Amino acid sequence: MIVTDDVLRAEREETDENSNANLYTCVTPGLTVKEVTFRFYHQSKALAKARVLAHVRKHGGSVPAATREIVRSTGLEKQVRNLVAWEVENKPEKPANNPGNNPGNRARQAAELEGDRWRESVNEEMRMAAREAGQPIAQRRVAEPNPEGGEGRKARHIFDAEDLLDAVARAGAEGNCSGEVMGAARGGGEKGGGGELGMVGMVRVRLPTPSLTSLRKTFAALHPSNRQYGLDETLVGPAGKQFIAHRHELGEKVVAEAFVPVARQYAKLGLPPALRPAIYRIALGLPPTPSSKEAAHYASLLRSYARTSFHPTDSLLALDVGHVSCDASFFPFADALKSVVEAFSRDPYPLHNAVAVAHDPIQVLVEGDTQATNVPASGVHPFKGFIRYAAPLSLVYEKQPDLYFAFRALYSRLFCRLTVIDSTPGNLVHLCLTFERLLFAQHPSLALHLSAVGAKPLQVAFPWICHAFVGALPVEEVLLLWDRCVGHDSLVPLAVCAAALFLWRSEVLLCCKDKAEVEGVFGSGQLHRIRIVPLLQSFLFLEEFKG
Amino acid sequence: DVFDQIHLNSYQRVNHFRNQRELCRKDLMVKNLKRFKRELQKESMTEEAEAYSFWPLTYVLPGDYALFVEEFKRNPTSLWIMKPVGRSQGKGIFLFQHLKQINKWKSDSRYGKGGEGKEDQKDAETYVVQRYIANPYLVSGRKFDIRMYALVTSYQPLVCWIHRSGFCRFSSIRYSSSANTLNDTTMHLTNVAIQKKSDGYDNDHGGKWDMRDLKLYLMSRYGPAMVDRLFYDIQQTVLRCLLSVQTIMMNDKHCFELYGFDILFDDSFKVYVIEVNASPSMSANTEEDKALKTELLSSAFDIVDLEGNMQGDEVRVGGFDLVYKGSPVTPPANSQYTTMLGCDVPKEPHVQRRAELPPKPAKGAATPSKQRKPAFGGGGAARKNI
Repeated sequence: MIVTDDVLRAEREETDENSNANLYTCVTPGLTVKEVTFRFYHQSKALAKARVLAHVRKHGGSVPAATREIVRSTGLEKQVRNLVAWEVENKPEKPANNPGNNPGNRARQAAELEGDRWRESVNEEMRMAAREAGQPIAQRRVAEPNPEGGEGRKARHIFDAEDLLDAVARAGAEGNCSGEVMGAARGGGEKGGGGELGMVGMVRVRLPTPSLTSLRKTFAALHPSNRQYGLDETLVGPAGKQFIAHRHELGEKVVAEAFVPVARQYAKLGLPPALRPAIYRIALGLPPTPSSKEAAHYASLLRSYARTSFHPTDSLLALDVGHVSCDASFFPFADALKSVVEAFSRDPYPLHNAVAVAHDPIQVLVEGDTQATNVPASGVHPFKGFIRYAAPLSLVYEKQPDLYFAFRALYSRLFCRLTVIDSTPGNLVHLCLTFERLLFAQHPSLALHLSAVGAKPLQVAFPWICHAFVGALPVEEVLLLWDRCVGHDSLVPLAVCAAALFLWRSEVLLCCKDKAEVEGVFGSGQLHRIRIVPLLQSFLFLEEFKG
Repeated sequence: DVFDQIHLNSYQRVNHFRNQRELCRKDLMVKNLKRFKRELQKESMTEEAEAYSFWPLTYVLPGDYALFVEEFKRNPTSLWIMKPVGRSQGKGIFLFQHLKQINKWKSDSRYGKGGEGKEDQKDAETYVVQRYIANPYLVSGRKFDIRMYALVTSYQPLVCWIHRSGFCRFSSIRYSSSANTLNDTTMHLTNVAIQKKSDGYDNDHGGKWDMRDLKLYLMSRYGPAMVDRLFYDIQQTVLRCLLSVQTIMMNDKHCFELYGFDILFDDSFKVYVIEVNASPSMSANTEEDKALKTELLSSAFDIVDLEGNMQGDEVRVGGFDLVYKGSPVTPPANSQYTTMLGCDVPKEPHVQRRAELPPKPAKGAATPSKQRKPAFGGGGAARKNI
């Protein structure tokens, strides 16, 4: 790549004037990037040295002290600290690799096998859909894209929550390690049962899941002795007022500090809506204030969307947008969300940086290019409900680029785990198993009753978990739940919330006679006045207070 | 009229005040507001009078046609909106920018163009013309207005309960104030009846937002202090409307009224009252809507208190907060909110009482009267004035 005037200009605009004005003298148009980097490095080294020595001459003291002082005062220290914290915490947990053919290992292998199979099937669906539409997978866009499947065929989703649930349930079916088979399913092996929890559960992979006691420790921040958002800001009177003022004060300090672990700790107690935009950014590893670079990058993604059209990715995205505009809280933002997911599909960042990679992109040669491109560039094939991961953020962020980057970071860090099938703790299969075990441990008769009427608990709860409760709860509550997920950097609150909802409605559910009634208990309008924080607190800590 | 003749017992109520049109007809409301403002100015309460600026510049046609034309000529590029005084659901409303579009409302005695004016005037029903609020606050590019509910159980003294919740009605098309979109009622009018006919309308959500969503949206962008101030302004605006008609409303202990206020605010967060409805729609098009309205009605009936269960010291019943009882009701000391509007509707307890009991109002008005007094005292005489 040759350095051009535009690149230089763009870079210059971003830099601090007084310190770096001299840096760009080494750069002239016509050099390659490698040469520029080389000269840049040496020039900046020389300038930094000059600056440190000037500092020593002016203020005295030793060279190391001067260096520390400069690093701190230019804000470089904060950036480095954040980078280090991010790298340290960003390593995805690898499950302990016990050698040997023990059941744990077999389970993991079975899950991985299913995950691979799932990925292949998703790819196959994509190719099939492209074939059906009669369009090449990638081509230069000639006319305005027609989202209603202008190719004349109705686009259908390549997979949705139900398909994903089936894949989860299938994982581990062969090499089945059914250890503790409960009661009636001892005969076991029927297509419905045979899971680890017998008739009740659907997940067959045996993985270690946290027990209630360990959850109490992990989520100690939710304990009722701590004042938190979602509950205490609604108290009318001096208590509420003081709480809000205090949280705001603390939050502003956290934003000024811009340190990832501190922001996460602050988020554990829930975020005031006014501070949510900044804190999410910090906790997800972005700089606290948006920069024009981000806006430029976003614009370039949208341009690349406009240039090439990918089928059937684009029509599937449009179909998903159509669904979100039916939702009561998000319909005004349908256009913004559409742009955001379109840009996302052209962004290679998630492919390389997501904690869990869900799908394999299809390699396609676009006419006029020499190299094969990934379709989609993000490596995430669109599926029904994908846009839901972005939807609540549209109420938080004002501008589209901010919304985009927050969504991208949130997806890459947290929500990508909800689309993979493997045995990593914290990912979808593990979360489902956590939910099932929690529910069974707290209220076994409820779990058995529900399975008996044909609505296994996971069947009802799965859409909640895999869509991170968007659409199931009011937006305010979803965001409060996400605050806890971001704060603990884990999706386990989703599983806990699902179990808590079942327990809260246990009396009504025990009276249900069929699947439709069970779904009606949690249906539209039933949950729209719920408060999630007291619900989680009562699930985790109620026994402490019982006489 | 029927009710003038019969005697109502203590357990009977009528859900309208005799001359509610003073508040609910658009021309009469503006007339009353202007009059009250003048009275305040005469009493040198200039600050309070200044606050009475929550309606756009209004003229009644065909009566004020000449005045209107003068104003129009001063700002020939501004937009105006014409509304019939007596109709609802957005019927007959249109926007215009040129005088010739409202030729029908020229009153012939002033503009004397011969006999043709007289025929036109027969067709022209009374309309109000208002300066159109061309810069409404937009959410994601769409215009919306807020519907909220106020229950008045008496005008003398004024007892007013405001419901915490309400909803925002969105237009299904992105807003634009350019001249070529003036005829697009779906963009400019947010009545549900109009939005229902548009292509973008969706039955699942009905183009409505709950107040909670609006509050969250605004708080994420502007912080809690500003949002509290905005909602407080809205509450005060409602109260001022009611105060302006207090003296002319024919009060009766058997009357109550549940008003639906349509509120709009512009991009500098100035609050406007678009209109007041005496019979707000109680039909629901979504589940949440239904829940809101059933709670609304149930609490309203509790407040109206046909069975005599209320003690007299309640400050909150269901989702209704008492905001005025002879004088403004202040929220608890040191509260972070100056108004409960937009807050959650608690389920338990259903009724909340004041910490200390206020002095009980004179029981004379509330006890059932054994006289054969007609329900509307002086109704016969007052009827002539309307």
